[in-house]
Formats: sequence, structure tokens, C-alpha cells
Amino acid sequence: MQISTDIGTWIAAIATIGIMSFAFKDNPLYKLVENVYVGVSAGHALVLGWINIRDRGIEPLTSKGDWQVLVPLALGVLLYTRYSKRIAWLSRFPLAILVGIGTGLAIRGTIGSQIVSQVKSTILPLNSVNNILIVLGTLGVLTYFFFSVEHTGALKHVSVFGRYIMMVSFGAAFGSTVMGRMALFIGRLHFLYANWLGIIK
Amino acid sequence: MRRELPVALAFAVGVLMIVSFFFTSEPLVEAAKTVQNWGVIIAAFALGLASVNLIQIHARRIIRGKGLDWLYSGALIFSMIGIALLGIVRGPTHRTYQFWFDALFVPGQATVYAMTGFFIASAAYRAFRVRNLDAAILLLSAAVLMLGNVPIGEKIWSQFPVIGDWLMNIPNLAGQRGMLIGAGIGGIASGLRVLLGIEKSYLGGSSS
Repeated sequence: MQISTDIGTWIAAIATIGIMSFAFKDNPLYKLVENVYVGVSAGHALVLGWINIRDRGIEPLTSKGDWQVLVPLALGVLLYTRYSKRIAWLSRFPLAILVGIGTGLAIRGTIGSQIVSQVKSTILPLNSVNNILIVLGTLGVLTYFFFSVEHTGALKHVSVFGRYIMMVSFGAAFGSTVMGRMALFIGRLHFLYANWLGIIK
Repeated sequence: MRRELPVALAFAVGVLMIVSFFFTSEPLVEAAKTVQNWGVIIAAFALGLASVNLIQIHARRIIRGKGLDWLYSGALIFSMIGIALLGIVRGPTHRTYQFWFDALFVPGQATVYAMTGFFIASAAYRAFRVRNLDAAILLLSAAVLMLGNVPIGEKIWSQFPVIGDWLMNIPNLAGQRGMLIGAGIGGIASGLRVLLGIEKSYLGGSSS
């Protein structure tokens, strides 16, 4: 057993134990580590933001004389007009651009990946139990979300079948998530026992 | 005008993004690329705004907070400004920046996500209590999938991995597909409401 003498490992170990201690109960060490973690994450996000402004805004303007980048730089500054009640409405313009870009990209991405490709992949030859199950399951789930007609008679049975298929999906999603989180937890325990305490190799 | 103009701007930008995807006109694609680049720059400014907001909230907690609130909020502001200054002045590849990133951010993120496993398990205990057929299917599916993915599952019954794979690739696929298509249609409807100015909550509450 050889305990680490690296200061970085010690800080990481204290942070890990601090966050893990929340499983026992809320405590001052957890709160301190949590706040430091939020601070570091926010600081890191700020650095990434600054790099984007520098590389995509300031750099093209100063080295290439690309004047069009003045538009987003000015719009970015307009976001800060929120702090003055008189001109706060100006911050709506950059927000509108962000919302427009986000919505436009989401719609076009959704059409391609979530609708067209999924529908295409569902058009399968009904020559095996698995294929039949995929087609009926997909139709069942879609029927479950179809609220324009009351679910009675045959439609009710299709909708209930869709709900059972969704339950399998939720179970699978839950199982995968728990497995992933457990893998992370084992990784943290390995860090504590191997890298920090040196109990295991 | 103070509300209508931003709505019109959001509509124009949104339509440009959609249209540029379906038509291969060079000027249209270039315009969409430029506007996307603008979006990245504006979003970066928004991060600054978020940080100012965070500092305001925690400065208030330092002044008016109870107990050790001053310590927690002080630590947050100090670590945020410290890391930000280090990254901006010396760059994110600098040795000191990397040290703090590896010592605090990496273990913090991994442990926070790891701990959510316990909260998911505790939520599952409440949700999975077999009260009806739906809950039973959910429980069975999750249990089989997990057993199929760990070595002990195969030791208990060699068919667990096979059934786990089948669950993942057939019924789960059908369910995910149905939900993706349904959510996609819903997302497009919500997006169109935003672009057409029916949904304007992002502009804030004031009507002036």
C-alpha cells in the first residue's frame, strides 16, 4: 500500500469523497465541494465562451478585416442591456436570433433523423416475428400518442400494446442508465483505492 | 414593434436554417453558415451574462445568507473567477489550468453522475414496486437487461445475455422508434409555434 503524494490526486480524492458523502446525508463538506464544482464548471464554460468570441469574432476582425463579425459582437453586447430597464428590450434581438437558429436547426434535424430515417427503417418485410414486432410496436406506440380519436375497441388494444412496448423501452433505458452510472461509480472507487490509497493496482 | 421585430427576426433566421438544409443554393448555405457562426458568438456572450447572474445571486448569499452560506457562495465565486481568469489569461492548455481541471472538474463530474445511480435506484424502488402489468414489464425488462450485461447474469442463466440483446434490439427499438417519431412531430409543432410567433415566452413577460 502506497498512498499518493500527488497534491492533485489528494484534491480529486477529497472532492470525490465530498460528493459521495451526500449518499449518507447532506453535510458541509458536500456543500463546499458542490459549490466549488459548480464554480469550476461555470469558469470552464466562460473560458470556452471566450475562446469562441476570440476565434470566431475578434480574430477574423483584427487579422482578416472581416467586418461582418461586428454584427454578432454588437448583438452579444446587446444581451447585457437587460440590466437597464429603459433599454432592456434591445436584448430581445440577440435572443431572437439564438431562438431562431436553435428552432430552425432542431426542426431540420428532427425531420431528417427523427422522422424520415425512423419511418424508413420501420418499413420492413413482414417475414419474421422480430420484424412484425418492430412494425406493430412502432405503430402501437404512435397510436398511444394519437389523441384525436377516442381509444375504444380495436384501437384501445393497439394503444395498450404500444404502452407495453414503451414499458420495455423504459426498462431498457433504466437498465442502461443504471449500468452506466455504476460503471462511473466503480471508476471513482478504483480511483480512490488505486490512485489515491494505492491499496489495489 | 419591440416585440414584433424580434419575432420577425427569429422567423427569418429559423426559416433560413430550415430552407438551407433542403436547397443546395450556395448563397443560401453560406448565409446559413454565417448566421450559425453569429449564433455561436452570441451564445458565448450569453455565457458571460449567466456568469454575471451567478455572481449576483451568490454575492447576495454572502451578504444575507445564513450559517456557512458565505463560505459556500464565496468558494463558488472564487473558483469560478479563478478558473476563468486562468483560462482566459494563460489558455486552457496551460499546465496550471489543466491541474485544476483534472483535480476538480473531472472527478467532480464523474462522481456527481455516479451518485445519480443511487438516486435512480431509490426512485426505481418506488416506481418498480409491482402494482400492475405495466410496472411488472418495466421491472422485468430492466432486470433482464442488467443481468444480461454483467458476468454474474451469464453465470446464473446463460440465456440472460441473449434475451437482454433481444429486448434491446427488438421491443426496445420499436418503442424508441415510436417515441422518437412522436416526439419529433411534437417538437416540430412546438418549433413552428415559436417561429410563427404564437409562442413568445422567450421574449420575457413585458409587453412594451
